[in-house]
Order: sequence, then structure tokens, then C-alpha cells
Amino acid sequence: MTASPPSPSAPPPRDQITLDELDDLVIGAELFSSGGGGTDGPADSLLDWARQALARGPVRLLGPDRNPGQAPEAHADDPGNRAQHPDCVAVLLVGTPTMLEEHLPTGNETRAAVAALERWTGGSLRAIAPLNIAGVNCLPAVITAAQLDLPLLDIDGMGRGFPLVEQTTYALDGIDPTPLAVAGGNGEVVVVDQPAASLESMLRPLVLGCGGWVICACYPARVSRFLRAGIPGSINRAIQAGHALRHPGDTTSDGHALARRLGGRLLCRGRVVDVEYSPDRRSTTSHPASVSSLVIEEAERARRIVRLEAHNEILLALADGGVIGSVPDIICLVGQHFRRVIDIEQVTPGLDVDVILLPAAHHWHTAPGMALAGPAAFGLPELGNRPCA
Amino acid sequence: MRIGVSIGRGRARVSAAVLDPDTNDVRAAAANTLAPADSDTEALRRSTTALPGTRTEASSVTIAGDWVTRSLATGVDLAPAAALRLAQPGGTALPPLLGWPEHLRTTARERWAVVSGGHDPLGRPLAELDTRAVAEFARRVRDDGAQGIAVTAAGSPAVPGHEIAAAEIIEQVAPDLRVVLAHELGALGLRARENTAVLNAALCPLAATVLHTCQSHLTHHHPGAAPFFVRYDGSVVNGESFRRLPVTTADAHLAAELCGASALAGQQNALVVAFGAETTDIGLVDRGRPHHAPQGTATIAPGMPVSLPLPIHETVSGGTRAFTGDGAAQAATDLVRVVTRLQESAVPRPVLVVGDPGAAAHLPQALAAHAPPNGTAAAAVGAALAQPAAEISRVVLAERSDLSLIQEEARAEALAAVARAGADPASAHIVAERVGPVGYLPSNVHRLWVRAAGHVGGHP
Repeated sequence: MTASPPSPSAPPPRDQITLDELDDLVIGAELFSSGGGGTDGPADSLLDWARQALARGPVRLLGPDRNPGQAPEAHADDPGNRAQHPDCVAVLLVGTPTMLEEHLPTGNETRAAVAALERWTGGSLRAIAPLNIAGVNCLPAVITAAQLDLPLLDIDGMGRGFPLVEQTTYALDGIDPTPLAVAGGNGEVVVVDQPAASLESMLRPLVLGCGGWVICACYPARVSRFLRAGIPGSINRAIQAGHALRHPGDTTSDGHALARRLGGRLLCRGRVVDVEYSPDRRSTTSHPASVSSLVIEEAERARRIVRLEAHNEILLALADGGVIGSVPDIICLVGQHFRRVIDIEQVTPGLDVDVILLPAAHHWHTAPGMALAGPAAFGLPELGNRPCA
Repeated sequence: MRIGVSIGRGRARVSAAVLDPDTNDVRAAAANTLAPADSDTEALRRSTTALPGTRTEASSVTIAGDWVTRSLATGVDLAPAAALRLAQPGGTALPPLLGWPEHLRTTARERWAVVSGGHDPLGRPLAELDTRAVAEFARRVRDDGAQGIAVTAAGSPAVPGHEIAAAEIIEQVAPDLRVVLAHELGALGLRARENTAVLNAALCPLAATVLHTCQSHLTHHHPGAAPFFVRYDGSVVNGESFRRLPVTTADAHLAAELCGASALAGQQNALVVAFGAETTDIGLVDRGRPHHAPQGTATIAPGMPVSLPLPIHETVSGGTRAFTGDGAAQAATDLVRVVTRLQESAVPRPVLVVGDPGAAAHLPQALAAHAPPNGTAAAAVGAALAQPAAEISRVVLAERSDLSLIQEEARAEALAAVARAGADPASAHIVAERVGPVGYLPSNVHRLWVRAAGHVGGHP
């Protein structure tokens, strides 16, 4: 992803997350969820859980390009093959934060998932990595790091949100998502050790069996491997994006300026005129539910009709039938007047929105990246060369 | 004959309206903006004397009051309450009362517990109900002075059984405790539902007093008429529902004023500026009803979610007085700023001005505002027009072949809820419904939403 140009008021890169950064982090991460996030209702409990965890103290951030002296690897002096044991895991919430609002966490789920994977792999953790940076789903890794008093790597495996645990740059780099461990709110702990190819069909029923959400620890690997495979600076990028949205300044009424400040470009400024759910368009077994389409009438220029196709996240943007943006790039909706990030499940006709495209991390614009998370991976036809918007 | 009465802004504004039962035309309307009435009895008397000749013609009188709104804003008149949560064992990361502001928290203080029980969001049991712990907690909080107790079970929108079982235990060991069950007050979102239920428990004694006052008033001035109360969404409930679930009348005066303004102007979609003497409320109307926050995202205070989709509105501190004094220019600027912001958050719509007489004269020309006739009594008109409504919202696990049966059950529940709120059962009907997928879960998980409405029973 293109780094956003520094604006005069942009916060400097952080080397820790405190309660003060939390709101910026979550709002920025909402942008990267590409219209998804599963928050078709209240989703404050993950944020409040993170607040409770951070009230005990800040979480240290470690990036590939910062604090090299503090990288845990520098202290790794384990003899022999112990050094080969994984000392880091990626953490995320699988399922939907909406269900967590009803089935509240005890607070032990993070420890339980991580401890189970430590027992299974024989490793001892030195750091936690976020799996993705999509909305409140960036928080479980923060909570885990805070509760276990471990540093958090300033990377992630998606640079956005994707529906599948194996759609990561970690996997592109060859790290296996399994073995993984999940912990549910009612004391359930399950270790899944199986080929990654059939992981999703195993995981989703498991999540439902645990009441709609689990904390998942996966991709056991060395810290150095994570730092190489991950998208660098993800946490700080989200904090900066959140800051830009919460302090829009002169980008309040200028969609192009806001898009530029976020490191992307404006696809369309207009009004939502239709929202369609397609319950009969069966979601495939490998991709969980929620298929919908949005129709936006452009306010300016040619008054094009822009259609957004979503399946959990917005995957495709068409203007008068021509493709103007597609997955793996991030297509997001920002309210024109309050600069609020809008989830596709909250969209109603009449809403005035800016549709912004943020380029995906370069990892995704490779042949293996497109195979894992390009349009074809979502059942969309090959799109060929995309015209510029 | 339909009569509406409004008592707002700390009894400083009283209005009354009489509508033709067939056409809904305003037959008479009056507003009283004298010094605040000393008591609710006095306020109700003023509303009646404002409209002579209506004495024997009404079978019901609908009241839009701000008792609950003011109590929640100030903490005054809240009775000591307790919060009992039934959820899985193993502690909780998010205890009851988390995020409550101090003025509300004092009503429950440390009177909360999480006891084993409840179901997951799809209706499977999390744990057996710990009946002994429920009884112990009831005794403890009774001894500690609680008058009401809110019981919130995980998963209760789908399976309310543990809430009901806990209520039976509490009624045995502490029969004086008023028990509120959270599944009656909201859908998915345990903390929002729990917060709402605890507030409701704290509001019950106030509601009982208000109901008694209103009933006494009606006995004297409208013999045979039953009181109805406006809710947060501009619909009504009967006296019994108000006594049990008073929290649903939060923002009632505002809701009635928004709906009344919309009706008087004949504008289904509008932005309403409601002037008081000291403050001005600005809200939006969508299809004749208050524009509200998405389900479960409303808050009573920052960080304190509630399950009622309350009207989205802003209050500016300048009322009509501010527009006639030294700060008139500043007050106008502030008002235009708020109106512009709200206007931009939704589809553009006409601006209506109601409330204090002469308010329209103070409005900046730029707003192109329209002052409908009888706008001083907009809240009373909104109350007189209000009819019962109910919503059912839940998440279900079902194959598509079973879904229509589950939808039919939800419709039946919504219709029954409308009848309980005071509608003539024969008039209850479904006005809107939605079914959709839930993101990131298998495709056999569905979210259902049904809204039903009806007409107040008895003679029109």
C-alpha cells in the first residue's frame, strides 16, 4: 500500500499503543475493512475489552524497520533446536463481533487460545502479530499482547480484511496457518492440526458451535519470519488513517483530498439509491455469508451509476458497467459529511458517500497474491486490465 | 375524539390538542408557556383548562411527558436498583454497569453479579441456571436497599427461559423487589439490553407515581378515559405497559414533537426545529417517524449503549430568549450550524419550526423554514396521533425451508406485542419486515426484523 503523504497534523509513528491511540486505530482499521467488518449492529464490546486490557499499561510495538535493538530475536539465545520452535503467533477473532455483543467474553479466551497452541507446538511466545487490520478485528491481537504482557508486531497479514484465515501474506510467504487453536467464550478450546486447504470448512462450523465467535491463534512461526512476511507498519498506518478521518480539516468536503491523504483515490462521490440483498445467491461453502449490492448515483461529472458488489467486503466497483476497482484493492465508503466509515450492512438508500479506493499492499499484486485474494478467488470473472477511474 | 397532552421541559411547556377521529384534523389546540407548573397535577390541569368542552368526549388521552428523559439526564427520581446477569461461568471481561456515568451509576453502585446461566446467541444453553446464586443475590440486594432488579440472560432474545426462571426465584425470596426482564427491552446486544433493563428497574417507582397522577386527573376531567403514553419512537403504550417498561418513554416529548410537526405540515420527511424558552431541539423525521440511530447503537451517555433506537437529535442551549437578547446573532449562527450538519447527514428535507410562539420570526432566513399552523402544540398533536407499534429483532439458525415458519412466528409475536401495548388486536398488522444474512457466519444464520402497528382499542 502506498504510504499516505504526511500531513501537518499527522501523528508521528508510535512505538506503543496506549488508550489514547485506540480510537484512531479502530476508526482507521474500519477503513481497511473494505466495507466489511461484520458490525451490523453494536460492536463496542471488543473496544471496551481492549480499553480494559490497556488500562493495565501500554502495548509495545515492534516493526521490521524500527527498534531493531529491541527485537526479541536479539535476545534469543536458546540453544539447539529450541530456536526452531515458534515464538510468535497471529491472533484474530473468527466469526462476528456482533455475536460477541450477545455472548460476552470472560477475558480468558486470548490466554486459552495462545496457551493451547504453545503446548501443541512446544514454543514459548515472545511476541504477538495481528492477522488483519480490519475494523475491530485488529483488537484481539492488541488485547492478547496487553494481557500476556508481550510486544505486538507492527505488521499484519492482510493490510485490510479478507474473509478467510488463509488469505494472508504470511501464507504467501509459506507460513502454515495450522496448527491453530481457537478458544470460545464458554471455555471451549480446540486445536486444529490439518492441511490448510480444508481449514475453512472445519473452522466455520466450529465457530458457530462456540456461539458465533472465537479467539484464534494461528500461523505459529518465528518473529523474524513474521517480520519478513507481514505488511510492515500496519498498526501505525491505521492510527494515521483514523487520525485523518477524525480530524478531516480541509478534507471535510473534498473527497479527492481525503482520498489522497489516505493514500488512495476517489472512485465516486454520490448518493446511495439502492441496496440489494441476495439471499438466494448461495454463498459458497468456503466463503461465509452476506452477499449484497449497492447502487450509487454519482453527484458530479457524468452522473454515472456506480455499482458495488459485496460479499462480506466490497469486492468490485463498476461504473456504467465498466470495472473501476476490484479486490484485492480496498474499496471503502466514507460518509460525505461526518467522515464516518460506513459498513455495507449499515448502508441505507439516501446516504451521501465518497467511494475511495486504497491500493492493496504490493504483496497482493503478484501472481500468487492474485491467486489467493484476487477477483477469481472470490468467484468473480477475470477482469483483465482495469481502466483508470 | 382523540386527545393529546404534552408536558415538557420540566413542566414549563404544556400543550393539548383535540383531533377529529376520522380525519385527524386538528379541532382545537392550545399551548401554555407560563412559569413551570409546580406539580404534574397542576400541569395536567393546565392542559385541560386550555381546551374547554372536551370533558366527556374522549375514551383515551395520550400523554407525551419528559419525566423519564429528565430523570435519565439528571439521575433524579431514580430508585435503587440491581443488575443480575446470567452468563457462562468463568468471570467476565465486561461487567455490568461498565461505562455508566456517575449520576446514573449511583442507582446501582456495587449491586451487580454475574451468575451461571444463559444461552448462546443461537439458543444453546451455556450453563445450568445457578438457582442458589440467584436467590442469594436477591436477598443481598434487597437487604442493601434495592427496590428493583434487572435480570439479563445471555441469549434471552432467542431463549428467555432463564430470565423467567430467575424471576420466579426472586419473587419467592424477595417478593417486594420489582423484577425487570431484559428480553422485553431489546434484541441482540447483551450490554445494551442490560443497561436498558437496569435503568427501567430504577424508573419503575417514578412511573407508578406518574401513572397514578395521570389516572387521578383523567378520573376528574375525562371520566372513562384511559391514559396512554408516547414512546421513544412516537408510538404509544397503555398505562400498564408504561408502568412496567417506563424506559421506553425516554425522549417521548421530543418524539411527539417531531411526529406532530411532520403531521401538521403534511411532510413525511422533515427536519424539525423545536423551540423552548431556554433550549432548542433539532431532530429529523423519516416517513412520519423520528429518525433514529441503527438498532443497538444508541447511547444514553457516551460509552453507555442502550437497546432503544432513540431519536437522533441535537439540543442547542439557546431557546427563544436567546434570539431576542444580546447574543441573538451568535444563537442564530449556532442554530444554522447544527441544522446544516443534521441536514447533511440525511437526504435533504424541508425545515419545520414548532414550539414557542413567534419562534419562526427568530429563525435565520437562510434556513427557509416553514412554521405549520398549531405548531405551538406540535407535541400534543403528535401524542394525539400516536398509535401502538412493536418491533421484533433476532438472529436465527435455520435452513431456508424452515425460515418462513420462523418468520411467521416472529410476525405473530410482533402482533401480540402491539396488542399488549394497547392496540385493538383486530387492528394489529405488520408494517415492515426484513430478513438478511449475517456476515462471516454460515449462510444458514439469518437476521430477522419485524415491525407491527395497530390502533388504540375501544371507541375512537
